[in-house]
Amino acid sequence: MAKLAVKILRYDPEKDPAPHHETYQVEYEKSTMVLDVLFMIKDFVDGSLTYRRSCRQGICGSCAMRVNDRERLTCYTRVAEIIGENGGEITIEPLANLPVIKDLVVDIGPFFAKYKAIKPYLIHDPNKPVPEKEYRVSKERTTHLQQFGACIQCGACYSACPILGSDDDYLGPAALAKAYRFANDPRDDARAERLKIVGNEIGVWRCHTIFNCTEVCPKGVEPTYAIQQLKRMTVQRKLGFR
Amino acid sequence: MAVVLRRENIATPRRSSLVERNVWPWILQRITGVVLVVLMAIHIIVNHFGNLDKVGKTINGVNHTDLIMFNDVAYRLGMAFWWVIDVALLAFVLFHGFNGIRNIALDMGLTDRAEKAVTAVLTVVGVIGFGFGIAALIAFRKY
Amino acid sequence: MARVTAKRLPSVQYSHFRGRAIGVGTAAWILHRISGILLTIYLMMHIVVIGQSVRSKEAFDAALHFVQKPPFVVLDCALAGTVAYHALNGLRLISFDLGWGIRAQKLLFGISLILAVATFVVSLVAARSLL
Repeated sequence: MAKLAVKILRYDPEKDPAPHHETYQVEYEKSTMVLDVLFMIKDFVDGSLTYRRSCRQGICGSCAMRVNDRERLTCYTRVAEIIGENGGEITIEPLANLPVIKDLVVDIGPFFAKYKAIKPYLIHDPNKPVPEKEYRVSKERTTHLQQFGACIQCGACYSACPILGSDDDYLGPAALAKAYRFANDPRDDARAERLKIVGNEIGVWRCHTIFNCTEVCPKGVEPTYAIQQLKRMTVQRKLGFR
Repeated sequence: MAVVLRRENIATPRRSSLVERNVWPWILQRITGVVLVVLMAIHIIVNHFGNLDKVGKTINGVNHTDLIMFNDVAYRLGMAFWWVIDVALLAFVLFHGFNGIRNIALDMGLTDRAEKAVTAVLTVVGVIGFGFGIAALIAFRKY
Repeated sequence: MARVTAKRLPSVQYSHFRGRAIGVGTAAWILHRISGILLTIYLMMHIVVIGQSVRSKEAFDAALHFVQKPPFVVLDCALAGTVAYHALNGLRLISFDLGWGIRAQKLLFGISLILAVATFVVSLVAARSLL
């Protein structure tokens, strides 16, 4: 077991005048994840430490936080792998761009409101006949769409995007990537409607290809790629072809 | 790290959305950008390197003390081709620059009214700039 | 659990510039934006300077003589480099918009930056007689 200094941003908006870092000393070994460190501190050092977690296996998206200046899933991040980044110290902070409820817990409501706004479900045109057999989608298209469907809504991309730092109305990478996943689905009949929702200054035009979202996504969704495709689709529709 | 205060209901956008908007500014920014790559290259090379070999010499009774002098510019602008290039450059670069500033303002998160105001101000300044520029270009052709 | 009910809700925001928060994409965006702002400011000064032609031929020649002194020649070369970076990174952005090269974005940025610096150096060399 090796020693570790952990700096955590503590903040209770009702009590504290400002967020402040507090340092804790713990021990870790080869298999310790950052989430394990949080458990250790809450269980044995300071029971008031507040954070979100659930599956502890990188699929629920609850535990996304900023670790050593980078958005990560704490259950998926091994201490031993990041110990060299900051001189033997680990810093844990809450996600950015969302209101802090307490300590490492943020209000993820706005993130999901924007997700809902892009209509993340297939829409069937009632005037079109239902096919006799099943909808056929090619293997290539399915594989392509699965990349953008792999999002676990952890909020890492939302926190990493600098545009959301200055503009709260921007829909954000996760919502836009999902919008692309549905706009590009051959079974969907509502592409025009979807492009109206995203083809404006709070949607795709706010993306300046900063690529932070692509770099921090734990599932490899590549929202930047999806947003560029949505831009193309919007322009094509505006200019009258496709 | 800073604490930023956000308005209460950030889940509801302050702007009217759900329609396609600002598509043409986006398209035109790209088109003017591509055209400007060519026009700017021509402009810089012709003006800054065109007469480089004549600097400091007197040729045909004309003393070229500086690289860029009124007479040389007037001679070039007397030709219709260069006149069109310069007017096009002026229009495209003003649009591209001020549309870019507009994008920076939009990035700050503006309400509908604020966006209209910013667009109006930038358009007016851009048109005034174009007026000044044309006046300057015309002044070369008076001689 | 009592929620903070103030009209303005506190959130944390981190600088773009800290450590590993700066990636290639962020650097490219920041440089593109700064160069754009600088070029727009330069444009307005340029219109004023060239606009001296409206006053008189002599006024124009005097103004141009002033801005062709050696310190300004160096600045002009820096301007050429700035234009080159903005143009090349702009072309990089346009390639993304057309759906090409997104996975090669870091390489394309490197090329833009190197060619922009090269433009600055080459213009200095070409303009050495004026310095």
